[in-house]
Amino acid sequence: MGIFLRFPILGLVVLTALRDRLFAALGVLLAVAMGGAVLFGGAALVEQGETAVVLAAGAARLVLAVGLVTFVATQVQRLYDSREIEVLLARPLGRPRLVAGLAGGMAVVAVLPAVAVALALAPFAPSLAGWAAWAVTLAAEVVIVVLFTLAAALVLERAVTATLAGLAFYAAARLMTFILGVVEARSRFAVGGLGGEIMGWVVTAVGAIVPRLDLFAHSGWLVHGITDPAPLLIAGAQLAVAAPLLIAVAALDLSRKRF
Amino acid sequence: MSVRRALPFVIVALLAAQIGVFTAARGVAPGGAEVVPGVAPTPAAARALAFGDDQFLYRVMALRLTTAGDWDGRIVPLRDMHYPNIVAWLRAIEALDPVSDLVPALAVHYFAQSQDPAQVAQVVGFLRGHGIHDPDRKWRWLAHAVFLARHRADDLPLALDLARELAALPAANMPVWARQMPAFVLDAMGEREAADLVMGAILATEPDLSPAEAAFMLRYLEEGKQQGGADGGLRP
Repeated sequence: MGIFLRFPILGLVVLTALRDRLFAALGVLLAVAMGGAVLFGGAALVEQGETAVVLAAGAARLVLAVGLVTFVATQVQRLYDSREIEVLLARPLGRPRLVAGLAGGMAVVAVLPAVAVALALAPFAPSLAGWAAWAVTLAAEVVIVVLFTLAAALVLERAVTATLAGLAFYAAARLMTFILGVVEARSRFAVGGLGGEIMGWVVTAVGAIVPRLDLFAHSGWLVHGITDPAPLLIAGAQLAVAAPLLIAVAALDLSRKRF
Repeated sequence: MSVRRALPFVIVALLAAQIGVFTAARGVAPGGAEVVPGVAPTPAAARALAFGDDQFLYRVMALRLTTAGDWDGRIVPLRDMHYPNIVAWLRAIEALDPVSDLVPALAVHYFAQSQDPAQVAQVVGFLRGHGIHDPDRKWRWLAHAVFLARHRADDLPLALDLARELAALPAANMPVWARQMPAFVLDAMGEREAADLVMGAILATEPDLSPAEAAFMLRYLEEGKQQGGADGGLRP
């Protein structure tokens, strides 16, 4: 508990997650999703174990992403609606530090269930190195998703729009390979000429801004191990850049707001 | 009657209506009439559907294909399935994970169990492509293709072509019986002399034959000589 006394904002977020029974709800959903995955995996003709692990990993990733986006968006709206944010701002700490505290708390709330999922899958993953890579990148992925949702929620102030923004961001970030593939195959654009060029620039700009979450948490690592370390290295670099960037954007927005 | 008092009756009435909808919908299957969607996804479309996790989509689509025809209140016999669609889907799913054996196993142990030789031949075509791209790991699926072509599709020339492709694979760990396949198929075609030539060539050139394998091949050749190429003798 010492860390929560030293970082009270972080502790507040974790306490709120406990109070809102986020971990219990996620636990039930994860148990149902992963249990269903094991059931369906058993229907495979061969490689039942591998199929169950991959389905459980994929289902857990989706449950975590949706659950955490919803939690972050609703918590930030509650901060605004209850004027709790004004109480926090009255404390002798700057707005950037407040955002950093909220971000740290949200990151802890995101990592805890990700670690639980990874530990639950560990005994069944054929490749230990692949499991470790999957677990670390899953934690990094959910951290980036909650930090984006935090920034979106602080900017938008409403839970519904922040939730939709978070989910849209997650889908776009997971589709980056496809989006970049479209850019590379620009000749396939239905719109030719200047329209096609402009569309290509827009897609490239989106691709440059949105993190490459498609390089994170490949369930193929769980069964085949790591065949190419490049995605892992890029994932690490992506986290190192995206996390401070999102926190900075949220801090900038909050520093400009008047209460 | 006030709205508040009427609400319980409205709820009961709507629940009854819901049961009516349930009863009416019992015989209605979701989805279209096709057992497997007519158009398999292109590699780019599959990549989009995977949302960055090809392995997850591979397993989901393989399970979907496993239960094709049997999951929405119908039981569709294999003979009524459209095999060109199925082979297209097998290829689309295979592209998401060429290493796994789930899809070729599905092809061999499920779709190739059709009693229609033409349908089996289409599955054999899929296995032929799957078996040659990674010989060390996948040669056994080409061996399955030889078996299916010979015994299920009743297409001995195709079986011979496949057996020759199998025997020529640069797979270090492939057992000698896989290299003997052309001899067995030639034998089944009544070409015992050619079969003996293949078997003799293997005996002369294979460096690490076990004593049991060498003894089998010698007996096979001896019996071929005694029978003068007549039917019978040692064959799998």
